[in-house]
Amino acid sequence: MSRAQLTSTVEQNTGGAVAPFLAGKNKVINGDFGIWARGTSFTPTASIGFYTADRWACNRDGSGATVTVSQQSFTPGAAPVTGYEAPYFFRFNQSVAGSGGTYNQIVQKIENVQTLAGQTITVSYWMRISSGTASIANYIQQSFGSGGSSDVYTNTSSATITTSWQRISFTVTLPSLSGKTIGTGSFLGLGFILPINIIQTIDIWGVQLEAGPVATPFTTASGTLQGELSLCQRYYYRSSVQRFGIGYATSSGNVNILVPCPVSMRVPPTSIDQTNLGLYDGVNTLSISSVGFGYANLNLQEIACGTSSAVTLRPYILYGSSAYLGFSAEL
Amino acid sequence: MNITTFTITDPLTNISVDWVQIETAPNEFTSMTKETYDAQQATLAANSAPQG
Repeated sequence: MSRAQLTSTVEQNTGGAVAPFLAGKNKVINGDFGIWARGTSFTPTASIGFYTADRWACNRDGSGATVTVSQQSFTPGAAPVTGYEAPYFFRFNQSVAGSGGTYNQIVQKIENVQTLAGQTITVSYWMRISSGTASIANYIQQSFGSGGSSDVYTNTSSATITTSWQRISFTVTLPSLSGKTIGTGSFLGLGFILPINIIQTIDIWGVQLEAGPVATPFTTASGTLQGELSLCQRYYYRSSVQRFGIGYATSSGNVNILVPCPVSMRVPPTSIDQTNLGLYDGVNTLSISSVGFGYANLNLQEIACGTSSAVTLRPYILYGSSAYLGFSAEL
Repeated sequence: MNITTFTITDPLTNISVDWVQIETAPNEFTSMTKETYDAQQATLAANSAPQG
């Protein structure tokens, strides 16, 4: 019996109550908030699916609130888990309470509703609040995708968080998929239900969703820095390398540029975000008025850049000294 | 929020697709097809946030 088989057997026999740092145990990607491709500080608007740290989005409504999500650095030696010195944690700061809010959530969508369906799962995380206490609950959303069955929710009881880091965990059994129809883009959603219409600063780190009735020691989904980055890039990829790709002018008003992706994306990306992009032919620079996909693919994107005064069939470089170019294939 | 629309035509297939470009912050833009944008707006209008 191999070591992997032995570990797996022990884990099953003990309901997961061993300390395996196994890649794939944690279904949450970027659970240690180590990857921040989109930036390190955000002001989420009242909307659904405002992405912040990789794989993590905010859902909120209401008006008048000021919310900032930011990357925070652990003081060396102050990480909540002895022996696990993580660089960063996630901060949700609501500095103006606002009004009329009915939901205030932090969510991650885990690809495929089949994930751990019908199984007992345990979700765990570390959390604290800057002052006082707060009541936090979670939900698990089984979303069956476009054309699929209606969403199924499994809610948890609430937990009280304090000004000290504490690990919170809950165990639930996910409903089976029997009788369900699964469409495209299905997912298992993990949501944090935050208080609404109040001033608060909440910190989160070490989110884990795993099979079994026990919260085992935290590990990231991949167990490696590069692995976690690659997992994130399946859903969102941003480049800031100043030289993004080469292509040619199809007309005076359009230049198509080919841009490779480092890993295969989940699906052909559906949106682009960018700033300060330009076109360069070796002598002249052209400004860009619009950017879209000429042809979106899993590994190689053809970017259609709207411009003026391009020379048809002339080669161009897509560049920008303070530029970025991002592709999203999020769920 | 500044929103502009434009059309991209694939020179190989000659198929045209309408796009929306949103200025999410000064000089920062997000683009998506108009079909995707309309679907997002419909979701927002329905206020269909996950249960919580």
